[in-house]
Amino acid sequence: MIRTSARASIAAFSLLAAFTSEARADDELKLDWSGRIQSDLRFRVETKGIGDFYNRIELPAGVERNQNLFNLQLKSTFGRFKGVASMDFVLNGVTGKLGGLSDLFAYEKVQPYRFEPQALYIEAKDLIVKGLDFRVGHQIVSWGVADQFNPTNNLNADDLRDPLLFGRQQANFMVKLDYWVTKSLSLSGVLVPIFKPALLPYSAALGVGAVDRLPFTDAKLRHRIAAETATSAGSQIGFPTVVSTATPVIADPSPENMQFALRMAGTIADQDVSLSYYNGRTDFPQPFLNHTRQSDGLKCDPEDKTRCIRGLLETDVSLGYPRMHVYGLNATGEVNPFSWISDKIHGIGYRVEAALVVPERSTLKLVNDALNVAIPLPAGEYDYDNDGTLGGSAPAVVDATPFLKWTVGLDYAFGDHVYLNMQWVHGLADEFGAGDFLHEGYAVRQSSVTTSEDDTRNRCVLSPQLTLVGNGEKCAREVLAPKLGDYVVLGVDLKFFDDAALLRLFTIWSMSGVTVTEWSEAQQKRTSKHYGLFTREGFSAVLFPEFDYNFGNGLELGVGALIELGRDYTKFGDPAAGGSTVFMRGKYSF
Amino acid sequence: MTRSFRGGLLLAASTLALMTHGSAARADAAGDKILAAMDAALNKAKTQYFEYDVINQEPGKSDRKLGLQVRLKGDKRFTEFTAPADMKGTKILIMSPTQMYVFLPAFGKVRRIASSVSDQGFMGMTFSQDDLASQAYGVTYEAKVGAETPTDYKIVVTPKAGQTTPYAKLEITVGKAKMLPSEIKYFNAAGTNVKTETRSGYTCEGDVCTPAELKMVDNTKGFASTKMIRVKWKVNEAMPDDLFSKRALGE
Repeated sequence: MIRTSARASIAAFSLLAAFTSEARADDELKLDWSGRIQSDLRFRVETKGIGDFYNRIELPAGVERNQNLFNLQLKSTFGRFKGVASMDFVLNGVTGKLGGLSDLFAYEKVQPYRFEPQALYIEAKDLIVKGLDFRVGHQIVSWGVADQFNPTNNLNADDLRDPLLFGRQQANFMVKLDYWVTKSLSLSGVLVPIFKPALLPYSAALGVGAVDRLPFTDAKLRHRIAAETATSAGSQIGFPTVVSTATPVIADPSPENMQFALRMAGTIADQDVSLSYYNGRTDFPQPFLNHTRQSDGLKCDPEDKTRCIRGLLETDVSLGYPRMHVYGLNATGEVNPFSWISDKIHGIGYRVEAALVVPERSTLKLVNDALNVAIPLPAGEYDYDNDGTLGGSAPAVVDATPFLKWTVGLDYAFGDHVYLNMQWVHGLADEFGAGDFLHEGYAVRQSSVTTSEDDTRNRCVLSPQLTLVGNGEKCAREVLAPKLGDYVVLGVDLKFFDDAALLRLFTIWSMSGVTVTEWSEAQQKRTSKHYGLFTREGFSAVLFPEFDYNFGNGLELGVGALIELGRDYTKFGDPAAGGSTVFMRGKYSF
Repeated sequence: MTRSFRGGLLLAASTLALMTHGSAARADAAGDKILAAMDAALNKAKTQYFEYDVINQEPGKSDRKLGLQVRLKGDKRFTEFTAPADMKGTKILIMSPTQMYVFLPAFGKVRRIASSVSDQGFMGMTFSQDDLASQAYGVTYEAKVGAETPTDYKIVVTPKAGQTTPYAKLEITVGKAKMLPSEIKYFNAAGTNVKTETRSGYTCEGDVCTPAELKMVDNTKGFASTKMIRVKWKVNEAMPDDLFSKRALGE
């Protein structure tokens, strides 16, 4: 018996060895070096800022980016095996604030630089069995077929540091297996041991100043808090709320926090179709804990000495990354509805990428130290339900309601010189949670009160008998947008001088507009008014014109602009979006 | 759709149809026989692998160089750029006229491309994708003999009825010795000679012969030209079907 099993083991081992040691006689080691040097100079055309004199954050007009990048990539192949390493060295010409004389002794303080690994992985094809491909290491797995707006690309976190490279993702350590059942049908599985959050543009810091963008899904609670913060910030009390710190909290590297995804992809009647499933977390942060403390100190507006505060309600925000399941569908190919007109008309390329996101319910707990601003408040949790007892059920910032995000795109090339690309994007990368024309739900873009300081206090916060009113509906005014916006992306490429010159104009139009809600004295209820794309209040768009010239032999120069339009509360007019810039850049590849 | 707009579309469609077929010359059996013999000579290999140095020349401008690796098997074509550095690693897979993919290393992503893109220039080359793909002319064209010398046939090639082709007429010089083209003149619907291609320096591996150099002059762009110099060539090398798949592109 022992002999038999030993024999079987030897046979199995030999078989495995035969597979794994298979190497072709003509295999040879190939090394391939390549790289590029890239310079990027940008100017912000106007100062963008947010906040009042006590918490003002500004992005000044002037040099926005002065960046030089050196990328080096090495690929090594030996038969079925491959190793890839790609590294960026980035020299940032914009010096940050210097902390003291000692910083002048440090090159990295005056000339900040960094290294960024873009890829570092090994790959084997036909590993163990024919058709099985294996890749492990720092890599990007991109399953979405749409252009730049990919709701099914969830394995890698977004890298939004550079708005000109929208859609870019950051590599992460993964183990990836692909099994090719046939040459057009594949099954894939990916394991991501450690979660990584999205990298944000540094203009996102301005979002911290927007304390009026209350994240709660419950409108009544938002109205109440809007009235309370307006009262405490008013001249009679003089304690505005500010965000002092925002701290991302990353999940522990435990097995239960690993992410994984599965995909089946194939070609049916010349159309490429895939289904996928992802189990992990959103890479955009959601607040889960606000801790507020009082800091006393008289401070006046340097430009208007009559405007003063007595102190601040400083809030430390903890940010988390809620879990989610994502069921994805991708389809791409071409259709030709106009072939009946002429055979000269080619097929129109289409791309459909849809994600059904099932989020984990996420709540925001509000706690405070003992406060003494209008009336003394003991340390503890906020009285969410206004029943006179501190605490209660923490309010949701993301409901567990499933929601859909999608991108539907068409593209067509007209002759030698013109290429047109159109996309309908439902839900941008930073938009998370149910709220669209399928299921009501809003994100607050701006909130304030319409009532005077006295009326706000008496009607919505604190009665003359010094009891808490706890109802801000008669005071609060909100500018709302659907949690998942609709955007039309229109782009055109004009190529000339034998493809050396490229004139490109891409645009993004926010179709959702905004809705303003406030109390109507005439109707004695809250009313809503919608402002669409073609109104001054609801208009928001991005224009991205660019001209590139490829001189051949690796040299490319370009100029362009990123123009962000809309009021401060809109998606693209938001100061946290960074403001409009003009740029010029050069690239030499070798 | 308004009636006038639809009417406009129909009018445009009729005009296109006339432009395509109006200038068709009548074929003859001898011409078709030469065309068939040329097609047979062009398609003797089961697979082919080429490496090309490509030089784009435009009067008054410095040359621009490209490097290409091309694998052919039946109707399938797999092209990889080896130069210049900003194009290096770009791969194009053509599985059929309506199923094409590109792999752009900068994005690390395989992207399906629509067949309308085949109308566009091919990386600044005077060869269009259709020019490079054409290997069997007899499927869509018919021919008549225009002239004959002791060494060559000159045939005039026009689209078959009902066929849509990128050119209204071709004039092909076919060498009698190998029945392979040495010159192809391309004409548009107006009868203008828009491009001229020369194929020279044929060498053979067994009974498969290919030119050492192809040159396409675009007469409409100030006689800009693209020269493709063959630096490596393999015939009937084993090429698994997997090589012509998205997997090979890098997905």
